[in-house]
Amino acid sequence: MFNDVQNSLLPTSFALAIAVPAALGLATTELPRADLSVMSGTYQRAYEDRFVDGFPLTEISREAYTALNLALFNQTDPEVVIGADDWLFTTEEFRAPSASVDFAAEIRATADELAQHGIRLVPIIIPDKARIYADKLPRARDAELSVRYDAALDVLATEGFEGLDPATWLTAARAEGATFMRTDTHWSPFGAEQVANRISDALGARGSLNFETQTLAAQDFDGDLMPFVDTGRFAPWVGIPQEHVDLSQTTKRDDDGLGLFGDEEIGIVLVGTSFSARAEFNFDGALKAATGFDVVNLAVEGQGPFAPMSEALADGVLTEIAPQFVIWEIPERYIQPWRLK
Amino acid sequence: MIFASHIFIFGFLPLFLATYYLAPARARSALILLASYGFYGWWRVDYLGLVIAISLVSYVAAAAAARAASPRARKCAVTTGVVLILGALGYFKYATFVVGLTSDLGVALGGPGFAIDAIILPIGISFLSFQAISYIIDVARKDAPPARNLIDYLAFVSLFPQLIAGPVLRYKDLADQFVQRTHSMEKFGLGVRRFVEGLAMKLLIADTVAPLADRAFALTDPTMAEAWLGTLAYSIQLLFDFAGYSSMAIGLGLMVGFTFTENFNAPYTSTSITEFWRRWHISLSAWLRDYLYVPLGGNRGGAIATYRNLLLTMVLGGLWHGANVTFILWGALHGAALAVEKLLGVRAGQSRLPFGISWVTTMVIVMIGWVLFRAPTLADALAMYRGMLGLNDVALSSSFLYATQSVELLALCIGGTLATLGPRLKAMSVTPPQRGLTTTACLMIASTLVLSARLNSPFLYFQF
Repeated sequence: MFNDVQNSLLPTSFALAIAVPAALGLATTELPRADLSVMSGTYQRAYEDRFVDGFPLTEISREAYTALNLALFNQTDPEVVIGADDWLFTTEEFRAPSASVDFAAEIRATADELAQHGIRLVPIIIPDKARIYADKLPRARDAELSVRYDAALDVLATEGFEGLDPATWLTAARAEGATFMRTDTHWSPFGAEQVANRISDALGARGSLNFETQTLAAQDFDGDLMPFVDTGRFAPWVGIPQEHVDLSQTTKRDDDGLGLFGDEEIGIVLVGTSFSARAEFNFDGALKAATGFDVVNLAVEGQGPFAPMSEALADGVLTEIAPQFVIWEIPERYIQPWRLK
Repeated sequence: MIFASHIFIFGFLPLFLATYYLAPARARSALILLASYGFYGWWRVDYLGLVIAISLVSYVAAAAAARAASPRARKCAVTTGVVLILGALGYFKYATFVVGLTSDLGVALGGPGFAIDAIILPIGISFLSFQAISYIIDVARKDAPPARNLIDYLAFVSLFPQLIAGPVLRYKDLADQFVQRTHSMEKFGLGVRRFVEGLAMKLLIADTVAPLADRAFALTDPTMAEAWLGTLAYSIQLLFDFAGYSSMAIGLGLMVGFTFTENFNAPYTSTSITEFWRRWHISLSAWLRDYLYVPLGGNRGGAIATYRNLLLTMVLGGLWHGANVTFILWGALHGAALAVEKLLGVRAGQSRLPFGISWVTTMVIVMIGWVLFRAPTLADALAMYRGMLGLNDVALSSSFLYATQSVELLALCIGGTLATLGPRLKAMSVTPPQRGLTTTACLMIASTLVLSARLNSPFLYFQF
């Protein structure tokens, strides 16, 4: 009798463990569109995706797995490095970029093309967060990555550009405030403002417009690296604390003069990546305030620095606007380290 | 459909088991057949036609061979069936490879290059073909009786627990079980245990170390430590992936009363390559021996012919795994190692060297072979070999260390320990039933958690 109970315990438990979620899942999963092909399996894939999406344990499993990894190893995902004091870094800063671009050739070709139209190119290398906050890392990065920034500046110097060194500015400014967001790949609004001010000093020209920057109330901020460490309902026990951001907004003063018929002279076109494109960091606003020029922001998120510039040159928008300056914001992590040798 | 997926574990399996145990005994083969076609058709329904065609060809060819009035007629039936099946396998698996090689040769000789449209490789076609061929030959040799009826045979060939990635079953081993097999709570419970163990092997070990192997094999210039660590990770990943799948297949079989042959027996404890092939993918080794090595002459034609047959069998076995020169070289490596061991008089389990030396030597050869098995191209394999020889650098690079997750290393350590010491640990432990239940429950919970957290878990052997 005891053996019978013993023998039936595992089969019964297993049957219940798979049957209950099955009944729930099959009963609640909606059928996909009828025009999807059963023959080629697209209908089945669509149904399976819905089945998994509706599976009651998916969310809690993912959160529990992340929480467990965080608690045991202080790691959660190969795409994020968790440093001291809960500082997060993208692992893109710890490896060479996948796309192979000849940095020197790109800079030279872009500068030459813009110069033909009387436009001055101002390339700005945005240093890796891992460079500015190296003290938060558990160990040094590879040597070729450590020297990449200086090598990139050398390339710019060789190509005849003025030595703008945001790494030095952002490191020095740390004494006054965080120049990068703790849970995000990007700089803070404060860091962006520091760089904008220094660029303004270096341009050697000032526009006639007046801008004012308003600081808004501090807001909760979920950095772009937070999804990799999201412990959800386990966050009160184990998790990376949320951070806050002081948002700011830059607007032109009402009393500011306009040109004839209300047209405005555009002094700067900004091309680059999410460092410039994301409104939270207000880099274009800081540039306006610092330079007195109106700024057209052509930066694009998620495409790296080279594609937006190629696109802007190809469709003629830069020559059409004909600004005095094109500021090209280039994050260091998109530059191949060994191509600089 | 794959075993390690929500739709299988929490959709297909409970529906199938409920229907199976509610159905009368005489309808169960037909039910297995329908379920197996549904299982395969979940991938693509259009390719189900190929499964049915190969099944019917082998059924008809075997029936013709069994009824043949003369040896010549029997041979004709066997040849026709085998050629048709190999023709289908050749078209779907090797046509692109052969056309590519021919084109490259043409270009090298100054002619034009050419190509054909990509051909979708139907999942499981390699396993299906081997099972179908073995049926024809077994019936022709009178090693097995022809199937009792078409439904039983179709159900055998498409039996979903082993349809896609083996073990390579032979009809003669299952014929009686289609007529009569037992069902009991004890057997079902054992099946559950094997299934959950296999699921845990796959999800907790193989899938966890997989990123480590992937990162190492993606490096263009791996250091010595990176190359060896990546190869070690892949060795553990492959074992736990495939042995896990086999364990799940065996467990599913037990749940519906079938007893399949074991496919793995602690292969990383081997002290020779000869022993390794008695322990790794046992059903394939047996198939290659019975339907390739022996027909080629086996060891009956003297030493040189034996070495040639060993080499040829393993090269063809390598080619069976994939249409790539890397698989051919992998097979050649194992064939050469088997031939050398034959020459030295090495027998499985009877090493002439001290255990430590013969074990390390065997594992190094196996791992060198896995590099060819894993690398997408020969150039990638050579890059890995350069790393293993220390031609780039020695230590782990900082970028590799930053990407490496502690959980991957933990899974590698557990996998390595189980793979090498598992049999001894098992022999030392006496597991009371209630502890077995607790272990199974814990493994099931952990596997479900990891399955849901990661969501994507393809099996390596699906590509074959």
